[in-house]
Amino acid sequence: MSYLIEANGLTKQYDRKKPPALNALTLTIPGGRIIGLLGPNGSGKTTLIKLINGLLVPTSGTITVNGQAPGTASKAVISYLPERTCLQSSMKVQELVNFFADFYADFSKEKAYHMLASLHIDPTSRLKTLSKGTREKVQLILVMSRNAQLYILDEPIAGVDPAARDYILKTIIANYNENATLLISTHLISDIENILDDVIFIRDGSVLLYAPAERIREEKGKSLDAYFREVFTC
Amino acid sequence: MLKNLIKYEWKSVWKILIVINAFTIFATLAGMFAMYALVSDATFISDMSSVVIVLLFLFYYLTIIGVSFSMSIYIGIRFYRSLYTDEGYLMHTLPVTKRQLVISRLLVHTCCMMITGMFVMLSIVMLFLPLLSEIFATSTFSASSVITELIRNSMDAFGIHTMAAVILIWTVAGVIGQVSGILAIYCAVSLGQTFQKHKVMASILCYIGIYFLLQTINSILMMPQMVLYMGDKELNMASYLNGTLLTTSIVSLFTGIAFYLITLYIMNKKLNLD
Repeated sequence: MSYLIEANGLTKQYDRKKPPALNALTLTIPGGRIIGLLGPNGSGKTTLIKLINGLLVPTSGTITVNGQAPGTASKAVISYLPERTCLQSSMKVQELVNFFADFYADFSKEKAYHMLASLHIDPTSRLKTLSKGTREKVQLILVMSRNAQLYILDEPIAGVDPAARDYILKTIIANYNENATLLISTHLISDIENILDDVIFIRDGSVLLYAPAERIREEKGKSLDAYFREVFTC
Repeated sequence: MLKNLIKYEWKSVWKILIVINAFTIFATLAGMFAMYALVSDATFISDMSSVVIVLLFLFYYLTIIGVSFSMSIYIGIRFYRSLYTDEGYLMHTLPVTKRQLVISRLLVHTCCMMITGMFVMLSIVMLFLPLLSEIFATSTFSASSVITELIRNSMDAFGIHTMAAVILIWTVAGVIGQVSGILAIYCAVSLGQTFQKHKVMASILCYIGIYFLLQTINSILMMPQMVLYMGDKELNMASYLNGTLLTTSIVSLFTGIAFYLITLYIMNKKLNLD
């Protein structure tokens, strides 16, 4: 069986004096799933995401997307929402839409403008004039306007108010390509647990648990949020 | 994709380019006014206080020096911000190669440096125009004969027979020098990113190191040329300058290639965005 993502003995060590951020992690992720990447701060979630996106180089081990190491081909099929605003703040929203359309063949301008209109975001406004939450929404809209094979969302709802979270989650679910895989990293498990097919618990750079969300709920007799708190209790 | 990268890089830098060159134009006007005051017979202007003239020249000098430095510093900051800070998250996840990322910036930044350089050169010519016309009006040689003589000597020194070829050699040497200088900045910024902490400071120190290394290499390689020139009365100034130009161009070419390869290597094998 071919997997969308395959990591073998993936290790990333930033500092030789400290333990590795990822420690010989082995993982396979198939297509067509919504997966929650869950773990406490410093567990290695963002490091794993950055390695998939080619923003970091592994210390050892391999990672492939569609059987290929991160590169031009993998980047054409991954739609990535980083935990920070990576857009040029001096650009107007409509310029950013054009930017994405110029670089990604699977980007839909129509979808982007539709989502901007539903969130009442003026496409002629410059990014730097928008609030932090609105900037994050713009970034999410751009990412979700692609017809990608893999969506990677790093803390997509952390910076927005609870009222906007539902809308954003609906936006994500309504707009992602159903044959694609959605990998969501977040601390706000209760907000997203109903949409997850699978869950990956990660601790100290290793996979602690990788199972269907429903099975965890049945076997443990509690919500994912409650189980997460039990597993990662300080 | 390279075309798109060039387009967006140009959109990001053109405003700064205009601002920097606007300073050159403004300083040139001030400098020209001061120069005119020095050489003019017109009483309304020759009565101008010498302190004001000195201040205008000082302003001109500092602006011209500042303009060249500012462009280089801006290029370094732009390269760093677009590829190694938050913006890098977007740039490095575009479906483009690292080579395209570097080349697109190199082409746009070289254009910026060339335009700024041309403005500075034109500014210097404009500044000295009143003085040169005074000199040429009272002496037996003309401006065109001086330039023709310089080109002719260069043709003899290079062993070529067309004026266009000499101008082409000078232009190519100028472009190689600019490109290599920009790649040195990219290389220093990229080397700085391999450090765990204080990456900006590390980049600055790397640039200082590269600068001194280049100066040392150039000085060592130009030493024989200098000794030859000083000991040989037959050798003219053009031959010496051409020899120097050739040496620095060859050094710039090889070091430029090295800087480019190091930058690409770091982006491909050592990229660690915080």
